[in-house]
Amino acid sequence: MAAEHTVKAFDEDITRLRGLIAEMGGLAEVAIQEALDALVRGDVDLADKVVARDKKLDVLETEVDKLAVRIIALRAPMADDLREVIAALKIGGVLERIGDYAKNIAKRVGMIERRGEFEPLTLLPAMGELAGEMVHDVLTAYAARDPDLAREVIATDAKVDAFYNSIFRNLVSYMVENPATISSAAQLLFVARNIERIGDHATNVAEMVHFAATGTYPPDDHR
Amino acid sequence: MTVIHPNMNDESAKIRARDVCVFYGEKKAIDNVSIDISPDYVTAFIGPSGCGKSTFLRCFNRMNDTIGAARVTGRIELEGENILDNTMDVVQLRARVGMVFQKPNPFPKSIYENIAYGPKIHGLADKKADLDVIVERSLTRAGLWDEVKDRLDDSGTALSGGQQQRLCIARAIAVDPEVILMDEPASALDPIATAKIEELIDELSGRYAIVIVTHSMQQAARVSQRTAFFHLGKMVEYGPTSEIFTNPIEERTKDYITGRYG
Amino acid sequence: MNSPATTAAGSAAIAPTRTPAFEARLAKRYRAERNFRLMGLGAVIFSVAVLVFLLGNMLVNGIAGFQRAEMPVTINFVEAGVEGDAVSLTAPTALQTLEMGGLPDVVEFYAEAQLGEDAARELSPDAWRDVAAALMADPALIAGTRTFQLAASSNLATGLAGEGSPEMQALANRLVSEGKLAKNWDWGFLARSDATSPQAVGIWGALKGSILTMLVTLVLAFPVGVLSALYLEEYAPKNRWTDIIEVSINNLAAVPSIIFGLLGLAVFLAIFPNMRSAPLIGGMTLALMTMPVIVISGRNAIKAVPPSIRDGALAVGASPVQVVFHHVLPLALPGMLTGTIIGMARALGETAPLLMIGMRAFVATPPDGFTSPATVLPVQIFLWSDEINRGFVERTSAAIIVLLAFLLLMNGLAIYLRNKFEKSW
Repeated sequence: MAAEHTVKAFDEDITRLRGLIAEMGGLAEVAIQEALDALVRGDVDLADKVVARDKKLDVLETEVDKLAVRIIALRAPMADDLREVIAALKIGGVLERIGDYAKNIAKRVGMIERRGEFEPLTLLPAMGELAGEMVHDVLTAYAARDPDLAREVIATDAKVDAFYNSIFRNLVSYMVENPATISSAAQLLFVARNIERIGDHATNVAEMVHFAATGTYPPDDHR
Repeated sequence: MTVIHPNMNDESAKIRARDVCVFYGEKKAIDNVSIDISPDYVTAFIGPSGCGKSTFLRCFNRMNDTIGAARVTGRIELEGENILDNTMDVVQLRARVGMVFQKPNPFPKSIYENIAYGPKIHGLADKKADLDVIVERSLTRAGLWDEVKDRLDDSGTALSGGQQQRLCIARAIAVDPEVILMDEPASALDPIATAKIEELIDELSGRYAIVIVTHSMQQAARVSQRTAFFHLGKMVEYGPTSEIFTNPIEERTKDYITGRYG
Repeated sequence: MNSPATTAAGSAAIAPTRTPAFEARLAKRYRAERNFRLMGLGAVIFSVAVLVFLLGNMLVNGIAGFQRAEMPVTINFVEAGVEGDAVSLTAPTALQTLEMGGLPDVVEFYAEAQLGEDAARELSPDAWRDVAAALMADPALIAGTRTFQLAASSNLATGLAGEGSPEMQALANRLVSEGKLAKNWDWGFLARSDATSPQAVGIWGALKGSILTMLVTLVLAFPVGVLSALYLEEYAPKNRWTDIIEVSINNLAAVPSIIFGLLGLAVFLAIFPNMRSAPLIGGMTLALMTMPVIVISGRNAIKAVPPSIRDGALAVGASPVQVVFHHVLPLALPGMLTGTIIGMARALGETAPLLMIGMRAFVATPPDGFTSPATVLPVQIFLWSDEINRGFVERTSAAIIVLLAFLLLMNGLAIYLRNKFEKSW
């Protein structure tokens, strides 16, 4: 940022908005991490905690909405300030949805039996970690207003998609071989789907970060 | 170095200014400004105070001539004719390029006389019937006819501020100009009157080339399709209004419009 | 946002704002205001009182000047055998013809018959001229009879006023009781010209001279003044030369008026040597004096026109001349007119320069035109005030009243014109 706004309160508002987004991002990251941990270890208590903490993300999203609307009404932001506010508005919504997916994963923890034997179960943490990294990186890109890092995040989504495809095939063939495990395997399918969706949403955030920083959307190299 | 946005297809420029400089004595108020003013759009000049936007605007109808110490160099072409040339008839020029000022300045005559004065001295109408037509047409186009049609003999100065400014716009329209220059036309008016003026500018923009100087960025954003940002006598950036206000190229422009200036 | 509890607690801790010292200061301030207002009012009342005293004095003295001691004489022209007809009575030489024909004797004869010898002796020597004037105005009169109110001599008039020799006073009283002498309202005062006897003088000659002189002054000073003001304000470049001109004009307005008389004497009378005491020369001299006043007030009036009006006119495409004459001049006109009338009123009352160029002669007939000898009101007043004859005192006051009335008329005209042209912007 070249200089500060002549009206200091404007700077404070923007800082607060960014702070809220960073907070939401942190919570979302933790939610993903803990949901996956709970899944791998079968820790139902941890899973319940993840579900409960999702409410905080909802509250924060409402705050982001209100603050963004207020800034637009009172400050009439232009150029990069405007893009910043619009991006924050959309990113807030996306982070809340990421949190919902993490909650969804946590909810399924109790429904999976015979944990230790599932081969696909070992793949999921890796996929989840990748998605979690995407979220982490995109929030770093947001904090630094770094469009290049944002583009890297977008590129990573391809890997997440590839993961999802292989896990999907894996689970399907496992279900075919072990029909007794279908209900649990189906849960894992949903978990994988959720993680893939988290990756997509992280990509959305990356696009918004790029837009806020440069005023253009990243070129659509098909992912 | 002026940054001019690409993709502004203004081949049909109404006014072409090239390397225009304005000096007040020794002081250079406008430094080598070149710009093409489109006939189809409203062009806004924005910038901090003292940046020279009003001075540059006044070059287009040679109102700087009335200031003794002012000297204008360069070339300004209106439909191909250089208006800064000595052979240009200033009186004729000002009938083709009208001006509306910051503080409404109706003549202390009747409303009718205010509008009819211009056409009379330019010989656009000599019979009363023709003048009546011009007066009604100008007042209608300025959105004032319904409000004053029953009191055309009242003094122009008895109207409210917003009405007076619309009267001045009608007066400028009455001589059938090609360009209308507006120097902060709404800065002395309340929000409702301002909104009416902005609506009027919208309606007029199809028929006349309009150049408006404003210190309100919101107004420039609302009203214009092209915006030029001036700073310390230079034109820093010129482009479509939507781009200037969402994604300006120049750092100085960005600082000014986001309120980081100074 | 203070809660009521905190404000109450807060105000208890603050000292009251109106301390006794404060109250004393406040009372002193109000006293000072009242004193100033009273002083102003006193000044105004004093000025008005002086004005009322002056005017009252003039009126009281002057009223008598509008009256004349007269004696009624009935003349039967047919019986008297006065010769004359419509042709001879309207000829330019009518007065001489009547004089040769013995009209003065006729008048004297009838006066003696009707008033008595001692009264007839105290008839004004110019009384027959009034009769002659009546005949010349209405030639049909020669075939009839009329009663004339003829002027008494100045001695008798003085006696009637209770002054002069005891014999005159006694005679006057006797004639009054006999109904042969009365003080009547003298409308003729406003129609006659200067004369040797206070009974026969009139103010019209001087009034006409003043009017003619003022006309010349106006016609010369107003256009020159207005055009100079317009040029200096609108067109002249702002350099050292225009500064010098401005200073010169301001100084010219302050020059004592008698200097202009010297100028008139040296220059105008050298060019027109045989027009001494003509309204033309007087008017030219006064025009020189009035022009700087018009220029100064004109410039101020033009300066008061806001530049926004000029800008508006220029922007519509008016040429500089059109801006000046269609917009600036109409708005500056009220101020210019006021300045002009003030200058003219000053010129009306000027005596010194006109005395210098010779408008001090005894002029018995009103001027025919701009080049015939004339006198003006203030000079006439000056000359009459110098006269020894007691009767001139009242006439002088009457003349002063006429002068004041003329001034009042001019000021009224100024106010009317200013209001008529006043436009608000």
